[in-house]
Amino acid sequence: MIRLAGRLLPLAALLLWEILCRRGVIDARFLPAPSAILACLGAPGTAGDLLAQTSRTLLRTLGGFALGGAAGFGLGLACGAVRSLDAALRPLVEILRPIPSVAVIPVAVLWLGLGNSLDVVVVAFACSWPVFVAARDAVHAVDPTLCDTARLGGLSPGRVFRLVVLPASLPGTITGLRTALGIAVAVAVSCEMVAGSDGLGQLALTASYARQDPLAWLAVLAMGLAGGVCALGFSLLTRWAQRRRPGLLEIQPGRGRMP
Amino acid sequence: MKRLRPFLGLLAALLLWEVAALTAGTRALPTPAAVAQALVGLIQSATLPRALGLTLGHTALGLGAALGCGIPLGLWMGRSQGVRTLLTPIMELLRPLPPPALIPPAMLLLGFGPGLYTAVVGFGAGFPLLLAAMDASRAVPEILCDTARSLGAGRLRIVTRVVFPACLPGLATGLRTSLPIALIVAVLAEMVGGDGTGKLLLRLQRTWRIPEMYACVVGLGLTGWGLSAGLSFLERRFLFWAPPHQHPAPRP
Repeated sequence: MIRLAGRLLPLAALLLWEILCRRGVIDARFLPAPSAILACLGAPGTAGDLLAQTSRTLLRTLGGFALGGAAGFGLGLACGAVRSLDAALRPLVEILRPIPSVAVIPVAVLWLGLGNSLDVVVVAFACSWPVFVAARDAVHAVDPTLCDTARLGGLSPGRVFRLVVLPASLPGTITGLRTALGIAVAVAVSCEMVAGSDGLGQLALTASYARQDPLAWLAVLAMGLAGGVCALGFSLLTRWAQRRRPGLLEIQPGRGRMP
Repeated sequence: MKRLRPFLGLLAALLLWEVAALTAGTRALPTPAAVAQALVGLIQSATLPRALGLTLGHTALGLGAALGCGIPLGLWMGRSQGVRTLLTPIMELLRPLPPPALIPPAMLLLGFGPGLYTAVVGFGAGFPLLLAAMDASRAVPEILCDTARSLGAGRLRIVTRVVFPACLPGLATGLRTSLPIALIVAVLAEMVGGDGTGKLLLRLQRTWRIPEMYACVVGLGLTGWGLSAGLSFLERRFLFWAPPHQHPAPRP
């Protein structure tokens, strides 16, 4: 009963929004009714444009995520496995990590100009930190007994890393990747807003400057959908991996620092 | 020497930067010394401190909204199964929305001003806090609440005196996630329209004052670092009783 009510609540909120707009309680000049927003989708060219911009934003998001995720993953594993590298890089990381990722945009514009590569690089910068930290801490948290046992069994350090450390640190790293994906969508949109000529962020901004409110709201809706699709795709992927290799992503109880 | 070792990496990075700046010879990459000089200049002229003050104010506005809405709602959702089932679908619908997405409509609805920052930053920072409050309050041992109830505590009293304190470590974790988000979204909102460090950064870039622009980025980085360091300090100072989440787990 409550479950049904919960499912209906978003619809009820939309309905209330619509009624308030029709009654004139909400000034439709500032907040268009849901029906007006949807009607805008029917205008010639809008749906196709929206789709094109969404795919642009998604491509930038995924490109940056792949680049930043790979960089963060590799560096995180290296820093987790090699203590001296971690000690040497830690102050640098502590200085670079708190820089708000959007503050990098003006600097990146100088280097890369406007365009896809700018977005991809800034997204990659923003994405790499959570993945890096998660991978490093996950490797640190691997139970040393496991590694010792493997070494006593005669495995070379390389194989200990590949067969023991890597699988044991995977669940923690996946968590970092999931956080990074959410960040990627947000940063891609921010990039398009601040320095871009297309994409959903730019579309929403230009539409609102031009006082095409329904279009701006449609763009917001598309951003939410893009974020939702990314999150859904990631969880489907992890579930698929879980089915293929049961236990692959389960967190092992370990000694050492937990992330 | 041993204590200096961690800073060797930093020194190497600075050296690399210096060499790169000297060999590249483009105006896009000033030397570290030039950036440091620009930073001093910006601080002396009070430009950067004023901008950072504005940014911090905007961050605080949004964070206040996030704390004020996210934590009570999260606690309520955590303690009551009914409220949780009722509100989970709408929360799941809103959650994938990237926080910057709210800037254009918020601009239309609220104009440029404190309202914009409160809404946009609050939305971005609110979700981690909401989720943290919900998870933490669900994890409060039932026996604590039962004990308080059998000692005659009312429902409100149980929430304020038992559940809330027990949730504090979890809330601190949520705050640690939402603090950088708040700063980022505040700077972005300032870039899109308004004042503060975001605007200053863009203005410096567009007027080709490159060392000053880098100095501004450094200032923002220092601010972010200071905020998270301050939070860790407060955590150590006031949450020393919490089960430390960084200590080794017991051997299974």
